[in-house]
Amino acid sequence: MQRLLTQDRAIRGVRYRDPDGWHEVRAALTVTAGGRFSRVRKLAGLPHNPNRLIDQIECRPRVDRIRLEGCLGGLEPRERVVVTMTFAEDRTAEEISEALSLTAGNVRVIRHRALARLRSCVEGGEA
Amino acid sequence: MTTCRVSFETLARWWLDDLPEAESAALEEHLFACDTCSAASERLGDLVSGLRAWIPPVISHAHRDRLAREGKRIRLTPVDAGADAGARFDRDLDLLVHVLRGDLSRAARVDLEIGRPGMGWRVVLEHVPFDRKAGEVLIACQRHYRDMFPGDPVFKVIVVEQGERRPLGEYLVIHEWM
Repeated sequence: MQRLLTQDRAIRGVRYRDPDGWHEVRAALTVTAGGRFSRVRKLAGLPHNPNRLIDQIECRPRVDRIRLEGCLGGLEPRERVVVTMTFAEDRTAEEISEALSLTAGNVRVIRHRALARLRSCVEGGEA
Repeated sequence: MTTCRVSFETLARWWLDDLPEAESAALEEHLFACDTCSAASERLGDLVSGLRAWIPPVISHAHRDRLAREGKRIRLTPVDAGADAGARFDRDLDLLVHVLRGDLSRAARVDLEIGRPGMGWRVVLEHVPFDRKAGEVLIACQRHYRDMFPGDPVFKVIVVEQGERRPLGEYLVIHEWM
C-alpha cells in the first residue's frame, strides 16, 4: 500500500504496487481504534490518539449500548476490571498487570476472552 | 465463506495497538486482501468502538475531565458517608457524577457495592478508580440507569489497606429524573 485515494475530501480507497505494477482498491477503510502502527492512519495524517481518532473518522458505535451494558454485567469480575481499565481508562496490558499484580500475558488472555464473550453476547449469544 | 486464519487474539491485539510494529503492518496488509479476515476484524471493531464509547458506572478523574472536554454536560454532586444527598437529572444534562468522599489516603484498592434493598439488584465492582489524594470515588450516573437499576441506590465503598478490607461508608443518593 503506497497511497490513499481521495475524492470529495474523503478517503475512498488505497493505491498499491506489486510486481505487476500499480493497482487501486476502492473500499471503505477502517483504521484501528488506536492505529499506532497503521499505515493508513499515517498516510491520512491522523494523529495517534484512540479516543480522538474515533471522533475524527466519525465512527459511531454500532452495538446497542443497553445490550452492551447487560453483556458487561455478565463478565467475571476480573474480566470486567480488565475491560474497564483497557477501554475506559486506556491502560496498556503492562499497566493493568501492575495494578492487578498479574503478568501482562495473563492480562492479554483475560482481555481477549472477555472480548470474545462480549462479541458473542452482543451478537445474540450468551455472555 | 472460508474461516479467518488470523486468530481472534491477534485481531484483538491489533485493535488495541498491542502488536509489534512489523506484525501490525503485515496484518493490516493482509486485511486489505482478505475479505474473510476483514469482515471478522470489522465485527470486532464494532465492539471495540462500543466499548470505547462506553462510560462505566465508576470513572476516574481523568475520564471525567475527558468527558467534560468532549462537551458532555455534567453535574457534580458531593456526597458524604451517612448523609443523604439529592441529585436532579435535568433534561439538558448528559451525566450526573456523584462524588463519594472519604479518607482514601492509605487505600491500595477500592471496591464498590451498589444496590437497593428490596429492589432485587446488587452490583459488585472491584478495583474501581479513585483519587487517593482528593479522597474521592466518582459515580457516573447515566440516564439509562433509571430503568436498569430502579430505586435510589446505596453505594457501599470498601477500602483495601495493607490487605485488610475496611468499609469506608454507605452513601445514599436520592435521584430526581426530569
